[in-house]
Amino acid sequence: MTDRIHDAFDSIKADDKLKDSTKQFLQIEREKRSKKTSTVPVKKLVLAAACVFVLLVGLGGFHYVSEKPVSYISIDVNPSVELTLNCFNKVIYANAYNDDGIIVLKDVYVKGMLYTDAVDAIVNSDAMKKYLTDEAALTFTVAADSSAKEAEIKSGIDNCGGCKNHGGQSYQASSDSIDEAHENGLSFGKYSAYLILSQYDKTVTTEDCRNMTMSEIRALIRKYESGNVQSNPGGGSGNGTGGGAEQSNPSGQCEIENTDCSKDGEGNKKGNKGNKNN
Amino acid sequence: MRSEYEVNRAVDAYADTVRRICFCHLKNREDTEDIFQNVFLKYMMFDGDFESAEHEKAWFIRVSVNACKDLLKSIFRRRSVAIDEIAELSSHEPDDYSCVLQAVLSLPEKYRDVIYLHYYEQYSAAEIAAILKSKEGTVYSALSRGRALLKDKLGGEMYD
Repeated sequence: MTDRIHDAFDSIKADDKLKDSTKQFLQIEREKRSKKTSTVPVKKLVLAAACVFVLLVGLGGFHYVSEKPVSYISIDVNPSVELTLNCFNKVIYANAYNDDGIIVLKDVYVKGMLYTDAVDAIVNSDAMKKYLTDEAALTFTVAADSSAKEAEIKSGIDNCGGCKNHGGQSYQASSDSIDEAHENGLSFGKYSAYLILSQYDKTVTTEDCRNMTMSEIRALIRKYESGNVQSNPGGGSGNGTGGGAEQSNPSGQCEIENTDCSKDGEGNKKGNKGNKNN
Repeated sequence: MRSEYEVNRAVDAYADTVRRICFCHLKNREDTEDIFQNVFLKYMMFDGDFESAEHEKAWFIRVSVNACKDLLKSIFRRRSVAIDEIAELSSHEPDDYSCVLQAVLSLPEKYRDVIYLHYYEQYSAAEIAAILKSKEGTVYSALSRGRALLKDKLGGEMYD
């Protein structure tokens, strides 16, 4: 009986016509699907390439925007530190312009910070504390590509704790003088002060200013402005470097002045470049 | 997608197996042709590897059984009587085969695959359970009942 069932099933065969029609059907399907599969990857490839392109352009654009310097803050006591900000007011570079500035930037990492946070971090850092004596003049100098941006940053600095708690004198300078300042090895904050001083004393040099603290430079400027000292048109002896009376800021408020120094005197083209520390 | 050579080889190798499963479930040639196209198209598009020829054959059996069941579930399936299939076969085959095949087709559908796989393909109950994704006990039960029904219809002894 078992064999009968086996033999009966064995008699059932797929005829050649059925096999051939199946093979023919499969061949047609293969051709259809080959066409589909050959076009779909191209479409996908083009779509993927377009997505990658858009992504790269977007990333490139964002990178360009986020890395493009828009505004600058020079923080000078004796340490001279410059912060370069992007359009989002975040620090993209922090450079030191003297040895004391290097010490400060070694102590605090500010890259990527909002400028107010960066100012607070620097001013409140342990490394900065020893320079912020009663006689010290904490000076902020702001430069930007537009007056609106300068006003915005000035206001931010004026209201941040680092400025309020330690006081100082702050200036606003044209961003055009920045390159000149750097060529002379000075932060543009100290260079702006030098340019003012040099209006009264033609003999003073950037080298002199590099070795003076901001409080010393500001004290000399105040003396000239008050008429206590005769201005020196050049050729005579200078007023010394650091010998003048120092004047602290009694109000303890940040004083922000507008000074466009871009068309003023030239530096002596010597000096150190800034030390990028962040 | 498998190569043309590979697919044609499979058609030649497994056409009879698929045809026998179609016989157990379907009632006309058009449905059988549909199943053939469906099963071998699935094979052509199947990218998986088979461990052995036995594994490949088991795959064809399972896919064919499922394809037949799916077709039968379809409300659009063509309806025809089983006697057409038998009539077609009986014109070519000895009377005894027709008689046996008619007896198999008279079994409830759930027994037919099991009878075929056991008595023709020589699979054990455990192997049939694995192929049909069923329980071994269910296969034993179907075999036992199918065997008893066939014995009634055909007479004689049936051996495992």
